[in-house]
Amino acid sequence: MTEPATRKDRTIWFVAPWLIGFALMYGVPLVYGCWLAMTDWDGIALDKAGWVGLDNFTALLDDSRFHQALENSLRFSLLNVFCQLLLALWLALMVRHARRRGWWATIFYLPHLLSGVATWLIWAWLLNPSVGPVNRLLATAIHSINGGLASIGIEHAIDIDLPLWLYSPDGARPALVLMNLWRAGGPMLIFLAALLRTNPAIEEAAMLDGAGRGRRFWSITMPQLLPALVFNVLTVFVASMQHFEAPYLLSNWSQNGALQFATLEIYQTAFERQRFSYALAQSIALMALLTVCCVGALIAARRFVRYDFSTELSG
Amino acid sequence: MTAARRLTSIALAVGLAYWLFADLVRQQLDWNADTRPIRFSYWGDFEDHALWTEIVRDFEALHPGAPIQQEWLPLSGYQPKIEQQLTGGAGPAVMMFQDEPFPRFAHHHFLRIDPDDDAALATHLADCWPSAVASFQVDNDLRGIPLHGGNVLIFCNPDAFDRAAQHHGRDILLPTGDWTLEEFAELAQLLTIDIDGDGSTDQYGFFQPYWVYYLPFIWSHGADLLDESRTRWTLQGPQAEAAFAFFADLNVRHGVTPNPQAYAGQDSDTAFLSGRVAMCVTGPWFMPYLNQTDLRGRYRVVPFPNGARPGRTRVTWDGLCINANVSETAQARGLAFAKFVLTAGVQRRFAEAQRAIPACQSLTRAFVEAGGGSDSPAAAFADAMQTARMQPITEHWIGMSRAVGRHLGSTVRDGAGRRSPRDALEALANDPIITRAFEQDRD
Repeated sequence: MTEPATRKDRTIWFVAPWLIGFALMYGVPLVYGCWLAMTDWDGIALDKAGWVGLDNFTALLDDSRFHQALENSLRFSLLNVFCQLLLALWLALMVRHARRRGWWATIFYLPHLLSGVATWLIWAWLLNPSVGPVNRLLATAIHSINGGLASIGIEHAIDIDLPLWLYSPDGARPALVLMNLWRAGGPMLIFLAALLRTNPAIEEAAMLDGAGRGRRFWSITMPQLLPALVFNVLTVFVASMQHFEAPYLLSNWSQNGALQFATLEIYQTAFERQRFSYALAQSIALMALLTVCCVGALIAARRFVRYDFSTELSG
Repeated sequence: MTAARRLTSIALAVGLAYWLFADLVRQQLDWNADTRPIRFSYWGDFEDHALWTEIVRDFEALHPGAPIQQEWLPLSGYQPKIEQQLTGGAGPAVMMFQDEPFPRFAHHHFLRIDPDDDAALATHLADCWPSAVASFQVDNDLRGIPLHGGNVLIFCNPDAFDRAAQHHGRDILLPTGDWTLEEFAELAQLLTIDIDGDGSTDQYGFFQPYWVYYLPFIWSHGADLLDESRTRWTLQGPQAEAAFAFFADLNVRHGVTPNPQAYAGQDSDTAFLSGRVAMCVTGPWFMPYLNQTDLRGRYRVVPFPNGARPGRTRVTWDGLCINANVSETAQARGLAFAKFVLTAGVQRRFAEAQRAIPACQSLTRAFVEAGGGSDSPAAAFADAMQTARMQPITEHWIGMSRAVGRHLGSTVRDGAGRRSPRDALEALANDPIITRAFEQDRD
């Protein structure tokens, strides 16, 4: 047996535990879930479940509640991806040249170590429109500015209603995006790792050629960051589309369904309306949608993302 | 790798495996079902947990060799958690259950109990409130043993009444009980005041209740959600519209209930205790909390106002259900525990705890006495039981409840999402959850 063949055989054994785990934990439930989605199981009596074929999937086409929930998830996800990655990139650029880089990176990543439920509830209190510190600070700031301006004869210079955050249809999703900025440390680490791997020689060469800071960022740094950007966009987008904890905890009647995300709709279909099979069909549809989005994004990314800059100067 | 390192690695791996799987292996190797504890799930706060711990200890003392493993869960999320366990075949042997989700699980998951087989149980059940027993029956089969229950009434904060009296410069008396919907609305308006004159309301007359707590108002208006058979949707017509309009008017027209924004983060209990609202709807479980405040002995509990029909409260019951899919030994032991909970000694403890009304009628007097006697709030709850109505519970309750809550709530929503009472009722009747579950009269 040749040496490479031996190594390949060994590799299989190393990968085997993960493959077996994946097959047992994901593959089997997925196949079983697909089968159950073609029944009318109510989550109680499996022996009474009847075969309905693709009825649950065709019903999805006319399900306006699910369509609305998907739209809500999509609107939130797009805003969340944009805001979170913008902040993450800015933090990474700041941290890259900081004196205590590791220390700052740790600080910004720390929120990821905290319990999700606890932090959502704390945020909900911070953004409480009547007793939350955020609105109190805003009210104090407005009062102070108005007081200052009143002394020079300008009355009621700032006359705005304070945001209702999670208690209004328009404010709920932006509030959730604001809360998610707290977790920008995760994508920041990916950006930071990518930034630290960029080839400084290219940037130095561009600087010698007279390229300004902005030009260097867009033409030199950004192309090298694109693989990390694609990874971050996809992972944050998928995580946003699958967001459940916060809408589950923070939904209220004042939002007019703004936080009725696809995952929450699926949960309610299963555990409140007792339509387990239909909920499975909704889950599979969501998975298919995300798969199409991810594969589409990866294919599109091939056009403009380069993964190897090592020969940039030698060519 | 040296021998020492190899040995250390093996020792670490064995230690890790033991730590991860020891409980599982021990559980699987323990074939003796007679000595294995049965699992008992329940919800509640720490005082409920303490009470159950005492009850379990007493049961174990009476039944040596029949250990019970307590599984204490929070009420929020209790039902989905139990549902997930039952669906996965990992449900506890005995579980506390509310009457609302009960019908959905009864047939498939809960043991059928035959009181004819047990004279003592039959005697205890005969002493129970009829609605308590009926709540745990499906198709005339008993599939749960009632434990305790509660109705809801209107709580009045005397300090808020005093503040309103001072504000208006005249007496505002606490309601006595025999009152009308119009008198209720007028009182709520009197109690809604801007104390500091800054243009914003500092004290509201009433806390806008969630729909199940508003149900007695719907009944007072002469409307019903379902017919007697609980198969036909009947929340339509002028009476239902009047009930929805009354709900909306409290907030939109009279401004006597805080908007969600105004009480953001506060539930009715907090708003009531802080004096933010003068009246709220809740049940006997609120009394132990109030009795630890300076409102003890001063707050009043009054019945619902009369409308087209006399004001009647709604009653809800909790019971113990035995998992039909556990071993016969576990079922028998679970049933023994459930029967024990229905005995006078345990029921008296529920009465003394004041959190709920005991299922046994003979213990109602103990509940009233523990609550302060004939003029106490506990007495008001006990009196209201005489005319209390059961909720229109079916196996579609959870979905129906969410639909009613959503559409009733749409009448007080801010902005473009607000619906008129008539539109909200029509949207509710056409909600897929309702149309799928119930028959309807169509024009």
